[in-house]
Amino acid sequence: MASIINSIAFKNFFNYYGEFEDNTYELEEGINIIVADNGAGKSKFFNAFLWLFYDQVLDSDTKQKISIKNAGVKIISDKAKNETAIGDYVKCGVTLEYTSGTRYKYQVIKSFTATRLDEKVTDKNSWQFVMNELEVNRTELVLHKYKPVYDEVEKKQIIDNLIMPAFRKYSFLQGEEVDDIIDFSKKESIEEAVENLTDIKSYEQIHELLDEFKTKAFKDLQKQLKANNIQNERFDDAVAEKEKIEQKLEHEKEKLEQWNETLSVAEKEKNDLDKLYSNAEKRKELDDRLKPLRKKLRDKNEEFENFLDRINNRFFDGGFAWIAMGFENEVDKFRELNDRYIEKRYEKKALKNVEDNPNEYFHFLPENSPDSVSLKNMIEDQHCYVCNREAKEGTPEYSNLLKLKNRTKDKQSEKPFVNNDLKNFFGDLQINAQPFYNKFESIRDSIIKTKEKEVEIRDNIEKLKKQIKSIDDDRNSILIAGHDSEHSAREVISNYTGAVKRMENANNKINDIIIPSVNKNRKDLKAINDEIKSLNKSNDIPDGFNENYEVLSDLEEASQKAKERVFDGMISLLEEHANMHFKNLIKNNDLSGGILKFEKNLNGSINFNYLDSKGNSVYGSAEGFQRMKKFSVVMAIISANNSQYNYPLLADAPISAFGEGFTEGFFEAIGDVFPQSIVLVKELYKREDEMKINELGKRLLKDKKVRTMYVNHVTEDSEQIDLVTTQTKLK
Amino acid sequence: MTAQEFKNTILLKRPRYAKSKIPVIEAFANKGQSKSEYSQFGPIYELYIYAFRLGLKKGLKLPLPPRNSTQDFIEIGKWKRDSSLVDFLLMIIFSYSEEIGFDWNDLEDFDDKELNQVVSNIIEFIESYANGGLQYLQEEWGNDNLINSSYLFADLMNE
Amino acid sequence: MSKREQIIREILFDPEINAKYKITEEDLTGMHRKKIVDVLETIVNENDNGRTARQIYPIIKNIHKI
Repeated sequence: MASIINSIAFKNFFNYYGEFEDNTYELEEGINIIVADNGAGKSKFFNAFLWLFYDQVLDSDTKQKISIKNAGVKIISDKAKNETAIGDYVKCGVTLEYTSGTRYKYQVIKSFTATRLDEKVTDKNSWQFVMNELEVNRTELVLHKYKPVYDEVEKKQIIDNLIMPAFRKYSFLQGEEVDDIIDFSKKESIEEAVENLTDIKSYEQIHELLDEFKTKAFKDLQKQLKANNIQNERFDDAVAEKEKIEQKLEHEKEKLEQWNETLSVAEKEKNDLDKLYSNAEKRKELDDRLKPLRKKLRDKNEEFENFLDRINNRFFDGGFAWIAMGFENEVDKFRELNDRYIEKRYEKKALKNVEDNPNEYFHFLPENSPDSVSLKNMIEDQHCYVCNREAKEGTPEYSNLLKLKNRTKDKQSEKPFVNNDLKNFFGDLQINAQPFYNKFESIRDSIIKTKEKEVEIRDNIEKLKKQIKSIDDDRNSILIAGHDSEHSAREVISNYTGAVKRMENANNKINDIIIPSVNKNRKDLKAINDEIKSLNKSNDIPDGFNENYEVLSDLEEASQKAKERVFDGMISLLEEHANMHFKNLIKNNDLSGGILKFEKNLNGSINFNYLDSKGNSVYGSAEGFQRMKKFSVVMAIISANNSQYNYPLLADAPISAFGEGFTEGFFEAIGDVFPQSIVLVKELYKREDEMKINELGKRLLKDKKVRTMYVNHVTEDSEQIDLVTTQTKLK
Repeated sequence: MTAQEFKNTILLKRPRYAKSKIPVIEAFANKGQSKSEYSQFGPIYELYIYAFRLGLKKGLKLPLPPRNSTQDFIEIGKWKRDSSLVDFLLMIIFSYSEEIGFDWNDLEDFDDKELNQVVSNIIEFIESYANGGLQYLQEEWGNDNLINSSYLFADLMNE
Repeated sequence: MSKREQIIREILFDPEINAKYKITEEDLTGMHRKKIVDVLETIVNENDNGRTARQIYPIIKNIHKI
């Protein structure tokens, strides 16, 4: 007899402004999808159920559940609050209709009235609250006419029947809470789940009784022996020994409990960190990639700064000589002036010579005067080629040639013919300045090349920056405990490994020391008990007492083992079902070939690990994947139940955490297990689209299993007081 | 004087600039320390030479104001020591011997007093054009006509 | 099979019990029950009826006639 929710409606509830009729969702059997972007009423849906079942809501600031009375003002739609005049009142409520089985349909309305006392809209003291009476109506499905239910107890029952309290945790899968709901690191959690599905409690009770009876029977036996005044030293000793062993056993059991506690705590820590670890690892990997890149960027920037600073050096650096640009004419002029200067000098010198030595005026050598080689020739040939006449040896012409030849040598150590001989001054300038005027053609090129180099360095810097940004963006999209530092990632990793170490340590202590000790004591106890039994036999007391003790003792052991068998059996069954669902969930994913394995710990808690095809445990994997594991187990708990699960599922499905491959599997799987599911998703929302949904959303819309689909909108760019959520029914 | 002595006479000279040009000098020459928002040269002489070129090419000859409104700085011989910069500079300057008012060959006949006068004229030539160039920079700067890029000076040379 | 029966069977068919007491189908359904069966049935039934340990124990003692 399944409960199917027919509709949910809100009145001035958070962003759902307006009457119930304005904010109604009509739902059907099967899968119902509500597409709600952030802030568009996703968590409010859960709050509605919290109110219906527990008269509570989740305070978004403190993340704690608070009673409706205390929440008061915050729940009411801001727009409605604003529109309420002082002295006037506003009503806020939620209502739900559901059908149970084939006969009845119920309507539950919870609401309150708030009267405005003064201008302050958000102050809770500015409003007076009155909780309205819980309204529950019932109608026959055949004749649709609601009649009020008056009995308070019955009203409560009707609400409870929607989803039985014990199963609510399996029906509400809200975001991160999924992980907490099934916290199998706590022994109680798995036992509770198993309890709901088996008679394990009965076995426990029976065993407890038997334990008690066994003790009683033993005491009776002892009394008998004492009463019959039988002196049996060995018996007394045996009993004393037994008591000692029992004490030791107690002691060891205590130690076991303590270590189990330590183990649980460490395990919980590991599990919490598990969520963060996979992110922390990834973050650290990205951090390690960023560090050298950032250094490279710093170095490049420095290089660039220096480069820019040095540009102006190129004006005066002989290697570049930019300052020389445009001085071509001046250099030519200098050369010209220099040539003229040299020429004039020669003239001057020659004139001086003429003045000083008029007789040797013919020694004035015009341009193209013979050098010493030609003079030598002329002397040898005894012919003057300058004047083109004979100069035979011995003649004055010949001796002049000789004098000339010798005189040119003398000229080197000649008398100064000027006050200031500046030939070298100008000559040196010309030689030294070469680096600057050699480069005229290339200066423009040099400037262009410099600009190119600058662009090149700039480009390199931009590339590096882009690289860094891309990795940085990746890094920032990975959540990690609200912190944003390398430090934090390292902390998580070190805490994680710390917790794993502690777990190993505790496990070792438990397995290597305490459990063996407990077992030994148990063995000793059994041995001593057996001895006592046999000692009893030889006593002269009525058989009944012996029998009584023996039977009860044996039953106690047997019932203990039976309990464990049943428990293990259920775990196997859960494992089987969980794998079934898990396979479905990951059907469209690349993760095939692995299985979920339920491992029972000695302290009674359960680990469920994913083993890959080689049988290796896969730890610390991605968030969506972890979610899928938990989902599988939740659904296993439901499907392993002998009778069909008859309650609706309300789930917040973070598809992005699942990944596309999981999403389709998810909808298929829940369709198999729950008669009705209401799934809230945000990732299907696409603002630009006409229907406001993306490709995946459109695919799901076409799916036969999806019976209804709503899209929530929040008015864009509104002030808080104007926020309104509207729904569009697509199917 | 020998050639070397003549050169030394020039190299020992400390050119002057107008005190009114101090702002623009500080803005565009960082002397190895400060950074302004504009592209800069390092030592003052770099800016000075640049300004001289600017003035020369634009024909902006602006004699210095009276001496007490001027200030000198490092001697020419120390301008980028161990390089041929100053030699090149002197080459340029001597190509303007006509404007400065002397003839190369005459130099060789001058006595020391006359040579010193020529050197003074040369220095005055440098100072006037540098002053003109600095004035130009200052005006452009004041009118916000300068595009501040690393190529500020290269671009100005092109205009 | 009722839950009670299921529990009783589960416990009684424990290998060690079986080896020692040799429980058969007859013992569970027939007239003459072994004492161990009686004791267990009593406990299971009385527990179901909400009786406490104190109340059940005397009944057990009675089975052994003590």
